Amino acid sequence: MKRALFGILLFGGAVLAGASGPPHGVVEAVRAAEAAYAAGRYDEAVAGYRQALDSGWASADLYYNAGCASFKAGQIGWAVAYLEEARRLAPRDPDIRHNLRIASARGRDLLPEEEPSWFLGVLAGVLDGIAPRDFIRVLLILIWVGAAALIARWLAPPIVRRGAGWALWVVAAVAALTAGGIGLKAYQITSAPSGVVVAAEARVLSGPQDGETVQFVLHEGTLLHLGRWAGDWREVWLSEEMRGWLPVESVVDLHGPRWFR
Amino acid sequence: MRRRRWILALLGALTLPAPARGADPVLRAEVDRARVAEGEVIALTVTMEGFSRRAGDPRIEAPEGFEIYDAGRSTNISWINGNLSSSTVHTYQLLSRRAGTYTLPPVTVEDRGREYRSDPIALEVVPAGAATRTPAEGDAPADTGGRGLFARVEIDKTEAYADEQITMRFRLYQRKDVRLYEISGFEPPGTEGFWREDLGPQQDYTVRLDGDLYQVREISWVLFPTRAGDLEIGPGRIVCHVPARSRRRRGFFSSGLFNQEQLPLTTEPIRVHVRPLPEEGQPEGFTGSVGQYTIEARFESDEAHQGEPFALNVTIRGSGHLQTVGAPAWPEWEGFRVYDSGDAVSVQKREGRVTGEKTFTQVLIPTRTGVIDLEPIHFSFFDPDRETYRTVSTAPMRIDVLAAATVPGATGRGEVVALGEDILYIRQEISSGLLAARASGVGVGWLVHLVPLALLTGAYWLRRRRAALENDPVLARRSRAFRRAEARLASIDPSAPAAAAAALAEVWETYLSDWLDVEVRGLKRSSLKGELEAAHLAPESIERVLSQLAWADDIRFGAGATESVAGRLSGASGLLHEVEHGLRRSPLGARTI
Repeated sequence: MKRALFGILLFGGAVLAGASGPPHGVVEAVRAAEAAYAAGRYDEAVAGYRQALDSGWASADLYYNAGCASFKAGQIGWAVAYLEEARRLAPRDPDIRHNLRIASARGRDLLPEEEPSWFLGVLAGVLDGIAPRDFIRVLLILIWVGAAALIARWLAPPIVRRGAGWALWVVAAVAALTAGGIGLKAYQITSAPSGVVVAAEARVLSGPQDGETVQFVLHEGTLLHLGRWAGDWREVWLSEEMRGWLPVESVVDLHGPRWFR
Repeated sequence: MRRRRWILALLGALTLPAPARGADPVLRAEVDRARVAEGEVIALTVTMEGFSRRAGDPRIEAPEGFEIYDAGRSTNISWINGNLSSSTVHTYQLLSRRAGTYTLPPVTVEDRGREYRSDPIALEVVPAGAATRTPAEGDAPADTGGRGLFARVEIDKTEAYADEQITMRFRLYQRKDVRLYEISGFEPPGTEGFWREDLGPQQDYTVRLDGDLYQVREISWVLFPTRAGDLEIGPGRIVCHVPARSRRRRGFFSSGLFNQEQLPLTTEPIRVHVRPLPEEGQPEGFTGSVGQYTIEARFESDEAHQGEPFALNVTIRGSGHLQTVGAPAWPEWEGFRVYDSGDAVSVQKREGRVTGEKTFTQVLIPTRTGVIDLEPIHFSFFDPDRETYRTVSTAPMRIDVLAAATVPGATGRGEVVALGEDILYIRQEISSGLLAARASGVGVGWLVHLVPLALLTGAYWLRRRRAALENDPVLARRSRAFRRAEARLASIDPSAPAAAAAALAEVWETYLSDWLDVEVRGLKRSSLKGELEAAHLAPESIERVLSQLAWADDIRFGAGATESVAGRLSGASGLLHEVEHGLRRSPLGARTI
């Protein structure tokens, strides 16, 4: 019993250590950015929000504000990148969707989109509206309900035990669905574009050095996939056919959602 | 397997997009020839483009002097720029019965409550035996073999510019009195160095040449020279099966069952001199188009909204090699973002010519509101008839770009119109939220979710304990002995010494019998000391227990003093704890919870 309690305390301590509040400097940087934005000094606001994000602290709100400031400062690529990060953290947030739509419309590249089948379209739509942390919430609810049902199954009178048995089956079924959903969401996240063009115009070359053939030209705000590094160059692709290399300063990585944010 | 096919068909139907909307339906009625002899047949083709699936079949009233027969229908579905378009072609045969001049009334089709009409067509039927066509230029008897059968290849020009349209006709002439059983082995003339397109099905008609009436079978092509220089149209060949000329010359196996012989007919090769397009006067933006064209630009809708895409269709219409017609020179339009959305070609082949239109679509997204004038679009081509370069232009275009969105359905009291579109404001004071998070420690909340784990651990322990007590009676007696004894001890009333002494003795006897796993009645005072010693209980504790029991017996049987009952009871409680502690550490204690 004592060992079990010790284990629980150790785990709790680890969780606390891993999920502390924002580090020093973040609050001050965000406060300064808010003031700068309100005063119309958008470049300064971008710098403040970027400082907060660079410290490792991130939230949908912070990305949203950084996206707004970048848009106002005329940095369309950065605006799309920040708002896309915010959307992936809070996919049902209407403000984020609205601003991302407007920022994306400022982009110049019109990319061909494959029309998915009816079923895949619906599935993608459902998954789009679910944030990874929603799965965590469902799992926590399952833990509570499952624990209660298991305790009742062990200790309650026989008439209650039967109901608890059914509850455990339901919990197991929902857990299986959730596990499937987590798998699909993980696939969706890993197969989504992982970067955004932030340079006003970016010439995609056939190799990672100047003088290679220009394959195609992209403009700021275009979502793309990022691959290998080669010195100051980054491999990028839009599709199997359209791929090449860009200078690293032309693109920015999308970090994507972390499951516990 | 069948089930799987059904599922695939259902999925296909679900994923099939709706037909493109917006384009007006087009109804066309055409005949393969307007002049025929009595008893001959005219092919009537009715083409329906862009009609809905509910559109009815064409209604045709055959003019007097004709009989009409349905010859089938075909449907063509195609994708153009991601839009689905379909056309249905109905074919009819008009059998001419009487000579005269007729008018085929407009063909009508009803769709979605509206009636569509084609143009009327004039028809002429000449008496049987009369020529239905006047001889073409250059037509002359070439019946060198004197058999009443000969073949010719004719082109409408022997000098042309590169990519200029040339019509080539292969004709088989059959004098009316000549029998022809069968035609085989047709080899079209060789057209290396040309792009060749068929001009539709075979035409049959009659001509009068040098007083003789000939039945003519004609197949036509359009040729576009792909390079300059002297090109040759090779000989064409056809084999006619005709009656054998002489019975005496016929061998047993030579002419088959019907006394036929094969008469091969070969046409002469033709040289075509192809001139390159002149360098002089070539306009800027010329992309190599040759022919006669006009240009027209049309917006998809009359209204445009800021930030919302709309299409501009630019149609190059005319005669020439439409497949190779390049896009016009697009001006730099300010106030728009422009995206190329592809092109679509529609070709008609009539009267030996290829005509049609090629539509280039640009998607424009207005970036500002207000009236915007668009510069005309220019298209340059080489006109081989005038032997000069020409440039045609669209009319000036103007479009009123409205603000981004209007409120749908708002009428009567004046619509609310959005005057601009911008991003929403930042989330205010998120720094305060961050500050609170830092103060409280965001992770604290997660600890709550450890509660189910703790509860589960406790429940598991309880469940195991309960099972152990149920399965092992000795364990159950020993484990419960102390609590029962303690409770019983606490309930003893010291004011009645005799009863209290009896209860105290019962407490000890019950407690010890539980621990030693014997019946209360089987617990002998004489052997008690030995059994407790065997359990490794401390000798002092054993002595004190025995002393308690002895005292109780004295009181019960009237030999002891009753004034110290309360003190004895108090001492019994401490002694009980001491004995419990000792027994739990003894070998007996291994079987307790």
